[in-house]
Amino acid sequence: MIKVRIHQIKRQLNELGIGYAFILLAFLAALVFYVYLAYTQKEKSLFLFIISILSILAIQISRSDKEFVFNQVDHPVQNIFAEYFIFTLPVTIPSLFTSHWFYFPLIILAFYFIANIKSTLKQRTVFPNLSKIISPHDFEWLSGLRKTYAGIFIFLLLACITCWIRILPLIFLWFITTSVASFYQECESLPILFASSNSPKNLLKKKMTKSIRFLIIMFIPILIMNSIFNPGFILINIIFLLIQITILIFAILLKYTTYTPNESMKGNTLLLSMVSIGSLIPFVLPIPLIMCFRNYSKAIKNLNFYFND
Amino acid sequence: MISVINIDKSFDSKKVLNNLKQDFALAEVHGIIGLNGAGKTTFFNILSSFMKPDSGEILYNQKKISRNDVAYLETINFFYSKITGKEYLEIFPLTNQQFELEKINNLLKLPLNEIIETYSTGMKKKLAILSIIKQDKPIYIFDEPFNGLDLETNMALEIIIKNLRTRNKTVFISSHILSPLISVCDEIHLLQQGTFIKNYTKENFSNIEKELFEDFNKSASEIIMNSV
Repeated sequence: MIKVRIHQIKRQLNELGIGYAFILLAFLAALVFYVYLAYTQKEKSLFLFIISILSILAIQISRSDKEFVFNQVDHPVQNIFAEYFIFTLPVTIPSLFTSHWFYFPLIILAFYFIANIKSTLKQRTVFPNLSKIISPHDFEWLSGLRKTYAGIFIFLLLACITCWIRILPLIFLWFITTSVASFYQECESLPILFASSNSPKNLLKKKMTKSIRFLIIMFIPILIMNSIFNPGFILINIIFLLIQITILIFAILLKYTTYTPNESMKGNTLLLSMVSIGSLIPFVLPIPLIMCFRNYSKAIKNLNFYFND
Repeated sequence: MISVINIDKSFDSKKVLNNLKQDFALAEVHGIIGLNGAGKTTFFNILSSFMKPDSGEILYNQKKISRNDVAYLETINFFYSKITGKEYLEIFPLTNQQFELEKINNLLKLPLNEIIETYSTGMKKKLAILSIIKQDKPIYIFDEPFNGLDLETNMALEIIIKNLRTRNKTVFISSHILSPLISVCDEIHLLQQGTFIKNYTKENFSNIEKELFEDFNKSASEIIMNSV
């Protein structure tokens, strides 16, 4: 299974091209360094520990290949565990070089237990009336909210509960942005694309304005509360909101830069994750913005291929 | 008149449509038949402006055909994940004023408030058909619409196609099964290796099977008798 994953990663990197591969490498290096710094601090290391376990738990519960792996692959638990162990090394191994090294064996132990979980969430219709609030034209949001509502709800709740604390609610909101950005990985069919708009520019404008509106509606009450409790943090909250909007715009533009009808652009996951994580690292903050400008013309060019009569 | 003028289309080095030309009368149902790889879907993709030809053009009433002229039911239907049947239908504009979802769904019995992942293959095809017929367009294309449909819905689709003709719509339809085409088409066009080689009118539909499969049946019988 590890071999298969390595082939998949190679294919994704090939799809992205050498320029993006270097950017990813830079992001990865920055991430490892940032994780190392975080592990040197007591609270941040605990936070990283919890997030690592929750993320892998979410992946294990929702992964669609689990039945196949448990039925067809020899030593399924060991294979799944090996995947989690190897591919999280960049964010787990830095802990070994800090005073919080003990989180490393704890994470590994947790991964082993998680790899044993066989149950998968069944297909069922949650929130059948969601389209009364969100128009079916915003199908990415309808679909995405149905997929990730539990995580989004928990993070939104945590952000509400902690809205009087300075940085913590922003971290919870960042997790929501990351989830929302993942809404834009599935490419719609050509009939849906053509039903959405008559031109690439109009389509991107519609998608961006709608998604920004939804994100603001979700975030603004918490950010206002946070600013009331921490008046000195108003500017930081505004900058935070702008960064989240940038991440979302980047996700939309990336989708349409690589748009291929009826495909799920898994190759974008890596880049999207890097940009989302990069937004937490101050010295790589301008990169998402630069990439937005870069991808806008690319998205238009790619869409023109489909829209031209 | 819909005029297909010298259309060429290749994928890599393989020529799929080869100087394709044909005139199609308006307000009629045209069946397109041909073996796998004859170029039916590529022709439909170009007719619907989903794909550009390498050369040539298609004219509708002497103007270049536009995407807005055509409603296209693809062979394989892709639905966005985790949206309900009703939401999927709402994405498409309701321009056919006669279309009443509730009434037609009494016939098709789709669980429109459920996400599409819970649908069977036939139900997905029915949903895709609904998304096409809720739009009022002068041209309708159905690529293999009978695949996966139950007998009742097969009949319903035949009625839908006949109804489109009475509303003066031009319909293109392909199928690997001849009987529904013979039932609904005014003309059937045989596509072979990227070229229309023969047209059949209603009077000589009975010759199609004989002409198409006579040689094949002989050789197939021999091979199967001796090897299976």
